[in-house]
Amino acid sequence: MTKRNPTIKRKAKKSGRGGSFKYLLITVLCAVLVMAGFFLVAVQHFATVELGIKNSELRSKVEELEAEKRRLLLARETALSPAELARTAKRLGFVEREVTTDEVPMLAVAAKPETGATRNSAEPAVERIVYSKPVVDTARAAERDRKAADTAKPEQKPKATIATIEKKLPAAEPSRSEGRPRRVAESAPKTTLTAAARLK
Amino acid sequence: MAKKNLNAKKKKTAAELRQTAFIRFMIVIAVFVVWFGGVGARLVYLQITQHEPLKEKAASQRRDVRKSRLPRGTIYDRNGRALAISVSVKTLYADATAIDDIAKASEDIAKALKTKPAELRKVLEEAKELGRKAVPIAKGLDATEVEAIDRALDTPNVRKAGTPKYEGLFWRDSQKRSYPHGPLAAHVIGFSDAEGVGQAGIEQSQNDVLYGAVIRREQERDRLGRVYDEVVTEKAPPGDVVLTIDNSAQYFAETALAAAVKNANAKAGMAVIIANKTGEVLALANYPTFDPSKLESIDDNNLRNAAIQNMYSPGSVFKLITYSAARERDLIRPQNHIDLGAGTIEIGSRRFRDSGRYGSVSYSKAMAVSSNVGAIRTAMRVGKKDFHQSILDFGFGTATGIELPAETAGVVRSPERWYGDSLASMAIGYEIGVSALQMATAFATISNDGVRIQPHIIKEIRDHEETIVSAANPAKNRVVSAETARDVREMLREVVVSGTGKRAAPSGYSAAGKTGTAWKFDEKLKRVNSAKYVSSFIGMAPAENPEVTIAVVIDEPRNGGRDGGSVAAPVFKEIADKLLPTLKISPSDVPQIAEEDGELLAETVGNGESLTGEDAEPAETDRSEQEAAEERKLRPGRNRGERIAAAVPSGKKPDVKQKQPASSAKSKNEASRSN
Repeated sequence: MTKRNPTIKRKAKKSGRGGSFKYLLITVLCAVLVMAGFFLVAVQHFATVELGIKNSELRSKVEELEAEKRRLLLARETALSPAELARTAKRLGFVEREVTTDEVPMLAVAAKPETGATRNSAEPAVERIVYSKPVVDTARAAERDRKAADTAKPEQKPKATIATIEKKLPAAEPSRSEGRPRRVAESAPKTTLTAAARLK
Repeated sequence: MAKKNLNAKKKKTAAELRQTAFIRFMIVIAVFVVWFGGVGARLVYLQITQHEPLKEKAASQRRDVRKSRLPRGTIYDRNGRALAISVSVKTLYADATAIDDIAKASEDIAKALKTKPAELRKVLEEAKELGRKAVPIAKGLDATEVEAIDRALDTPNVRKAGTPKYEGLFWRDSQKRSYPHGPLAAHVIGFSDAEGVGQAGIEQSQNDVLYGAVIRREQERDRLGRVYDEVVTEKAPPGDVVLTIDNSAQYFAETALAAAVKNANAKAGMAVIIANKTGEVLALANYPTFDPSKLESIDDNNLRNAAIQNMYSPGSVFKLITYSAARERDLIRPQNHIDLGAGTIEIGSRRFRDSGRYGSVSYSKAMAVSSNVGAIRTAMRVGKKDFHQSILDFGFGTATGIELPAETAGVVRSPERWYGDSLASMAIGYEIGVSALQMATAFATISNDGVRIQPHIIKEIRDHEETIVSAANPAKNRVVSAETARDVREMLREVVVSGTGKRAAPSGYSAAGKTGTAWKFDEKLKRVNSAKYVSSFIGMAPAENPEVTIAVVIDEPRNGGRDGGSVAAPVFKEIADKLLPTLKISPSDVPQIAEEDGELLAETVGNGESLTGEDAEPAETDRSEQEAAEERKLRPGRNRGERIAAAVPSGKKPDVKQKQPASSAKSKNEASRSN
């Protein structure tokens, strides 16, 4: 008859219980790791999708801005086309007339050895269109004269007769009511197409 | 014993239990195996057998492929002003299959678009029947219009990523070609069609550079339609073209030309401005013209770029070539004298006249009064072959090579095909076909001390990063010596000071040039028609150091004085008056003032008269019979049309005679009145 050894049995029982706990622990750890991995991947995936959406929105925004830039450029060009400038000048009361011989040096005062025809395109170009002031026989001129008489100040009398339309706006723009040379800035309009259309 | 039996029974019961548990366990396993097996089989079926169709289906649900075109390249003038630019616009589309209530949708959309709902309803109903998913509703809308429509169609309970927030409606991007300066330089710029393909002008000739490539976008969208992944097929953006055109010069030329054509009740007009030292074309204008933004305004009458595509007999402006050829061979000097006799010369069977008796005058004076006799006698001294060579050297008979489509080469016949009086005719600008640009280039050559620079209209081509990829490098060749050019300029200056071109003198600047008045070739009559003129003035300014050459050609003027000095020269002056200060050209030290005393010198018109009487008077198509008779009375025997048959066989030395007209003084007065 075999003699039982309870101590060994107990030990074996004990060690078996410990081993399964260990296995359980490892399994749980692995599961947690896998879950964490899955979670991380899921977070990454959703972050990628989110970033993709943002990226797409930004890209479309860039395209919209580029389109807007083109629209503004178009509006600027439309507003500054020679025909449009002439129309605007006429609306403001300027009249076109023939340049006299005496006035030519004034117009070509900025003469350089090289001409506009040969100048470098990088050099800022200045556009000049000749108009004369004042307009003496229009209702606008009569109204202006009447107002000028009301606020009679000697320095408010019309002075120059040749006006230029230039690209660059000087810091102190003379008032149109003073009859001084009229200068119109070529810089891009502050508002958008609507403003250009209104100007048109 | 009993204990034994009990133990055995216990053992048996435990074994049975184990057996039962095992069976149950196996049943569960079997269920799982069947379950997983079924799922696995289904997965195998779906992922292997049905892989492709399901993949396509899944992709179509989230993926969207869109094709769009990159904006067409921009055309700039020399100062960086945009002459043609493409802008993004939007088109409103409807997915008819996604709209449940067509009647209500039609009402809503029509209200937003301010159109009639009935038409829209009809369109949408038809589209729904056909299952169309993209029906264009409104095209070419800009940002402001799009915003207004989005506001009008905004529906709160519609969940969509894009606008408008209305079920079944969506926007698609497209582009519109805009020409901000309207009709300015229309013939140079041309226009492009709805597909973005150039159809005329620079738009056509530089289509390869300007064409916006089609790009493909593969977008993946979430359930709300938001794009979360995008693959774009990259294409190189189109380049930009920078022209030599100056928009101010172009405007001056076009406005002056339009006014002159209207005042003279002319058929058409052309103007060309060339920078002499660079060969750059600063302006190239035609009238009538068109607005490239309004394609419906384009027709056969205004589409043609006549300045480079039409050829005409230049008339007296061609005397520039005659005198240049003679001076180059040292046969004449401006101050040397030539005997013009009584103002008549017979070559073969043709008699050529001057507008008066000038006797012995300097060559400068002969040029100033536009003497036909002087030019013919000079050409005779040059000789056929040399004269022909000079014509070719100045670039006639071949296209200039300007970067515009359908340029004419003109017509220059070889000397072997000349008739007995061809040399005389060509000396005064007949029997030759030239374009306005060719003629302007010849004058520019003289202005540039005899060096011909190929005229060009493209300054540079840039890529999308504004890097210059191609710059103009025009061919240069010496045609005449600097001395010859200087002497010819001196002769041309006399034309403006005291000759037929007095009205061309600009304010504050000196100018030189030549008038030309030629009968026009009539396609119906197949010969020149004395009732139809081509009047021109081509000149340069300032005379002492010419910066620009301006050519003005008026086709068939009908009102007032119809000669070049009366019709075209004032246009030259008007353009020069505005252009020269604009180009910052210093005013002349001694402003040239045209002699105002005395009447304006008249120019002899026509290619002589036939002595054999073979030429028939062409029909006066533009005027009444009475007017035509009046003109015949005023100009007795002036025109007999262009020679039909050869009076003198080619190669035979022409018979040159000078003859005193019966009443030369009377002829002068008559000619003066008629011009």
